[in-house]
Amino acid sequence: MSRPVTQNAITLDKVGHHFVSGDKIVHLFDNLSLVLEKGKTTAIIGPSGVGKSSLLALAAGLETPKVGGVQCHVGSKLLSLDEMRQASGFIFQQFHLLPELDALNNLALPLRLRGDKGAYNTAEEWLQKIGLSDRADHKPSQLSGGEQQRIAIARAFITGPSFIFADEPTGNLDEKTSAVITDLMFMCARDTGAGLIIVTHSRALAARADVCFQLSAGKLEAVA
Amino acid sequence: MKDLTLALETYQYHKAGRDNRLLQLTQGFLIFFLTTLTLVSASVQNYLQDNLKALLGSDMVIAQYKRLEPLERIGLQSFTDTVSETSILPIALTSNGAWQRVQLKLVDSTYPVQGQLTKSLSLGGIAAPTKGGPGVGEIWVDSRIMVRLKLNIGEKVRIADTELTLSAILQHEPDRLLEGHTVEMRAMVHKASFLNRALPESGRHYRYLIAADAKERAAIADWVKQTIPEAQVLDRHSGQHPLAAYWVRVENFMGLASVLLFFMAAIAINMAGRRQLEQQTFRLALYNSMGVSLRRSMRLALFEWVFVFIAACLPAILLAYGAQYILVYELQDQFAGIAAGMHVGAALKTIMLVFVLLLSVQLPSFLQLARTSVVSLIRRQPHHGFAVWQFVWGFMTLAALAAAYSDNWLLTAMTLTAMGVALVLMMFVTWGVLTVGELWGRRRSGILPFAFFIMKNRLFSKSTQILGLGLCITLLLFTLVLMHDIGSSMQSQLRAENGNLMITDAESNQIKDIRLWATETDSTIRHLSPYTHAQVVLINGKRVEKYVSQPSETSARLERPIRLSWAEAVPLNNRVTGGSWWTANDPNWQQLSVEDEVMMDLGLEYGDILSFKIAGTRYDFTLTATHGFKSGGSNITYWFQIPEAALDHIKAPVHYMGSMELPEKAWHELGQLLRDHPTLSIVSLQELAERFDKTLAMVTKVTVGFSVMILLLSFFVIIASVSGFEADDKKRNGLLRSMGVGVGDCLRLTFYEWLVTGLIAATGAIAGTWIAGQLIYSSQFGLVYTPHYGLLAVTLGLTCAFVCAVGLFFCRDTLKASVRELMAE
Repeated sequence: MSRPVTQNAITLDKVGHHFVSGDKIVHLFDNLSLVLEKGKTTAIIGPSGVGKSSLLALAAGLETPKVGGVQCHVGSKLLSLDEMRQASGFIFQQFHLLPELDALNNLALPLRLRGDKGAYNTAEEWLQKIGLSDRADHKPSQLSGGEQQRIAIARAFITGPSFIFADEPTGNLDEKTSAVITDLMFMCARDTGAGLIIVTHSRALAARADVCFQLSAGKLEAVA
Repeated sequence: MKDLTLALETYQYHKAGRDNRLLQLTQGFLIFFLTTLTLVSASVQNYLQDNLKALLGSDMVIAQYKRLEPLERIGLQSFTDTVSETSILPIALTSNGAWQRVQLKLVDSTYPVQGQLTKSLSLGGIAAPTKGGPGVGEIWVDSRIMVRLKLNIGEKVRIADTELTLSAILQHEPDRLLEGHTVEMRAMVHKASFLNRALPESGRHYRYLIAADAKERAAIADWVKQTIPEAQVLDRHSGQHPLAAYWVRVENFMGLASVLLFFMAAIAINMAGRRQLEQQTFRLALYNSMGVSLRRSMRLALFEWVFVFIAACLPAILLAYGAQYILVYELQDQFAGIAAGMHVGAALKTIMLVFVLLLSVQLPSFLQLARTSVVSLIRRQPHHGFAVWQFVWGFMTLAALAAAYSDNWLLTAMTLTAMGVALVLMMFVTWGVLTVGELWGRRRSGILPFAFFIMKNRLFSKSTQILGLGLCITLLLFTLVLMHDIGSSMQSQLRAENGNLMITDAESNQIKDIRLWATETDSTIRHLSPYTHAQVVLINGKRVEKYVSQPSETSARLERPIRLSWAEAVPLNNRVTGGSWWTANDPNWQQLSVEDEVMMDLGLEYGDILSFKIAGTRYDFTLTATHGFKSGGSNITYWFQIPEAALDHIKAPVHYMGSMELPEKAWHELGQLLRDHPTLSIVSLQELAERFDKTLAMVTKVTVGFSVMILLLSFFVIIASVSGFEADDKKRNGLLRSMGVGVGDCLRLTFYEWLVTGLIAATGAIAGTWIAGQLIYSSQFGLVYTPHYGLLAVTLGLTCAFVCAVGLFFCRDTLKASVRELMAE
């Protein structure tokens, strides 16, 4: 990589990516460079199908770019893919709560997976923070979309990750609920100091971010 | 959190779900069946071992089909003093005009060598031990003969020209088990009761019972190998039980049944696991997004699978132990005194085997899980080639299982071929019907055209359903048709072709009297074919038991002399299936034709040299042709046939086999014929029918049991295939409802889908049964498969009704799908 190493950041250096569909090659972007800093909120906007989610997947280390490279530093330490997974959290458009677990257990799951003995206590605190203490024993099928996304957001932040990747977090929600979710996300990011990277087609959401980029026609441009 | 705890929690969340219950039921059923088989087998093996110690009647036995020469007898007695000569001869007993064919045992004064001989003095009387066998001029018979011939103690019984006094009822012989699993009636006489050569040597089986220590036994075994290599040596102390090989063959036959059931279970598991796999993929992707490594995720998936297996295993094992007790009770006829046992080692071994097999079938799913990525939570990822991989791997696992379990390679190969062809046919028919249906419906409106459209677009998933169902129905149909055809066809063929009396062994000097007797009694001789007794001693220079790699009915039968027949041209009821039959006037008389099933079972090849001992002389023949049964003419076909020209070179007594048709009055005259020729071996159609009925009853029991299992598994397959696609069906119905389609129309759509599924599956089953019938009927049962169109039409109707009913019943939840649910999703 030719760019200087940035501490506490994810650096994409001259990244290019495409995918094959049948006998066609669909080029998404070329020669794209980007730095996503911890402690800052970054929004990536663009029309449907332009490759925002793919860019997010590359930044999160879920896929390897066809050209160029991606590195993640926490402090000055370069993280491996496994370490990056441990240091990341995800918020999905479809919420993706486990249907067989109630709200408390969904929230406690990431901590329990790490062997945290205080998982349930921490989860209860977070449930209170997001205003759903009284829904602790409710399964996802008994919660509204907004409530489910609040739990999903709390689940993403509960382990204190360095970076949070949110893919269209308000895509399935109405305007009012979207606003509530947006507030919660940004509040959690601010309180935990995590770097929040959001992919969205909502300009209103993007406007709340510290940094905003527009992806279109394979090019990434900063938006004022 | 410990992985085991997490996996157990996940299992408990899902255990009440339909997919999990179905998986557990299917696995449990398989474990139950295979463990029951193992436990029963272990009980039988234990019984054989215990009996071997107590009931062989001696330390060692030398068995062959001729008496030891005087020098050979002296040689044997140089090792040990305690030798008893016994021989078994099938013969007719007559008394007061009635007759009964029996296994007559001739013993000497040394008998019994070891163990207890018991007799009683009245029917139902207490059996008491006795020091020796019957005295000279006496005869002991078993209770069935007493009843059949209406005998009383003290009465006279005739064998040829010798009159014997019935002095006791034979209860128990210590060497009884040597006879194997025959249920023939039995009688015992002292060999000195007959003048020299009063009874024929042909067909007589000699057994020399020996008491000897280990050193003596080893020396005797070596001596036999050098001096009389064609004799069989049984040593009680080395665990060779005569019934052991028989039971191995029973197990191998059940093994083939196990393979087929496992095949169906694998289909049900595969379908039920489809939705589970999606759920697991989602869960593992989520764990991955929370920082759990892929290795750990796979460990969790494996632990979950193990918990399902354990939950299936525990009740299945308990039920298997219960079933063992019931089946062991049923086996008392075959193995008197057999007891059920715990057999923990054997049960564990089977459970491990099932574990490995099911894990093997699960492997493609695990490999699929290993490719899980968080990306799948962001966008849909295609699974390339997974289904093909799954199918190929599943088939390879089954092929390995079939290779390990079956001893009848021909039957296994034919069964798997028939299944394979049926599967391919169903795939083509599915593609054809759905393509044509979709094309037909393109310019039409209505539910039926739409049904074809939907099915064509879900071609792969529909094909999987149809193949799974079709296979189950093929197995069920073939089993039922075969059972029906064996019963009715054999009965009618016996009647039509063979008359009401079969002659199984007549010496050439008896034929003239038989013809005379037939003329006197207005009986008709249907046919008579000549043969000679011959013992296969070597194949390519090796003893038969060294040559064959797996025990089979064929190799077991070759332990006794076989019937070697001859012909110039191919007999009317045979056809040449390979090699080349000799021509008339062919100078090479040492050619041999073998029945094709025998060739397959023994693993013979053209050019192999088979050595026969005929009347004490060895003759070598080269295998040049194979023949198979063809209907038309007699029902008698011989395993081995040689050119007629061989008779000029072979000095051997000629025997005959054939059949006669007797009018009612002639039956009462049979006693006279048998008095003059007691060694004439005949069996009436009635007796054959009785034996056949007993056999059929047993076969029916086994077949019904097997059919019930297939039916149950078919049920599982249908439920699994409905469950596997339930989410898709629910979404479809919800969408249709959102477009204004009523519940009734959704119901009709579902009905059409299942009707088409049932029709194609039934068609495939009928075709598969036809193929199996063509391949298997003739070679395995000597029957010709003729489809019963009425039965097939009923099959078609019942299959469609059953599939539609079950499919609709289990689809009712998908019909309740609402638009609101779609919105919530």
